[in-house]
Amino acid sequence: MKKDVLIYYDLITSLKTTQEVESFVSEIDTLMFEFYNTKGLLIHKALDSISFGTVGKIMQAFLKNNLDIYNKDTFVSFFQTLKILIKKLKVIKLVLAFDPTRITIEKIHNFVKENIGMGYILDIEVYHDVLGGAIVIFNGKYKDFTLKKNLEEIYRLRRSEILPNRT
Amino acid sequence: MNIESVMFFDLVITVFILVVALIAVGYYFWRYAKKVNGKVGITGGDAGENADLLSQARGKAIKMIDEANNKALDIISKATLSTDTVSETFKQEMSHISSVQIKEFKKATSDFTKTYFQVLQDLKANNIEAFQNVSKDIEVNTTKEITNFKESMEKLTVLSQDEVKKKIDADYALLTKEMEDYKNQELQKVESGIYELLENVSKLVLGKALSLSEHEELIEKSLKEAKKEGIFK
Repeated sequence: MKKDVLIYYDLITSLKTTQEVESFVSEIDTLMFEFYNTKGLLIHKALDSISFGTVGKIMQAFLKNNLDIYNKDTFVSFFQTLKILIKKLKVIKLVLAFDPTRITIEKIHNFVKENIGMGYILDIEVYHDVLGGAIVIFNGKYKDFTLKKNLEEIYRLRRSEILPNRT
Repeated sequence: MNIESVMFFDLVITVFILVVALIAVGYYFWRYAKKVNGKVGITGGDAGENADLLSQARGKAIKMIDEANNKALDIISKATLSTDTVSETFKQEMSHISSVQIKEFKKATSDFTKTYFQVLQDLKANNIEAFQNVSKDIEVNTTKEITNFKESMEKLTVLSQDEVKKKIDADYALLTKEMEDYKNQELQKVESGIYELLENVSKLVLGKALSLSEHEELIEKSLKEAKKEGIFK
């Protein structure tokens, strides 16, 4: 089996948020559990235990890279490597003023991929009071680029104009 | 009752008894003479002789009566004199005794008065001295008490003043702090209120004014800024 991480590219890049990763990892765990608990270690039986969408993505990855999905060693090795790679994904937490659609999430993720690099997923939290923009939290670092923050800054700088009698 | 009075009454009783005896003797002779005259009349022979005897007897009797009377009068006069003398003596004695008694009494009264006044003077002097001592003690004690009280009051007053000053300073500081805190809180509230108001206005204006693409643009801008600031390194 090829050790090239590119064989996992499509699968990895299809994961854009922490929720998707959790769901995907959960399905892989289920798949592996079913594989090891089926008599004769039947792969097709194990694949039945997860969603069609995920099965489709997995099948595509195997086909694209000429891998035999029914080869038990290849099968096991593939998912073990995939899980290791998934664990290496870096999480960018974004606090947004609205609940983004899937398309918006894709746009943001693509923007991250193009401008920051690969191997990032998004952890999105919605907080309407930020009004617009985003709070970016990464690797313990915090930056507020929201409209709320901008308004506060404007208010702080022009406070004397708003409240002239403040002592 | 003294001796002179007893003698006087004895004398009066004696005179009285003698007078009664004289009257009794007179009466006896009168009866005897009458009886004799009656008997002479009956016999008639010796009438003249009898009449002489009778007149002699009568004369003797009268003489005897006169003598008795004289004696009685003499005794009475003597007794009266004696009584007067005794009475006079008694009066003199009484007067003398009275004067002596009065003198004695006056002297005793005078002595007693003198002694009484002397004792009174001594007592007065002692009392005055005692009162003076007591008064002096009271004065000393009172002065001492007043001095102590004054000192205590001064100490207490100074302590109280210090305590009150400290308390006032502490209260003033606390009050100033509380007022400052309250002022800051209120100003904070006002600021928060204004900020909230501005935020709400902004939210109303911007929230509705921003389109999805503008939101996305702002997010991308935020990510660019974050990258520029080196968050992803």
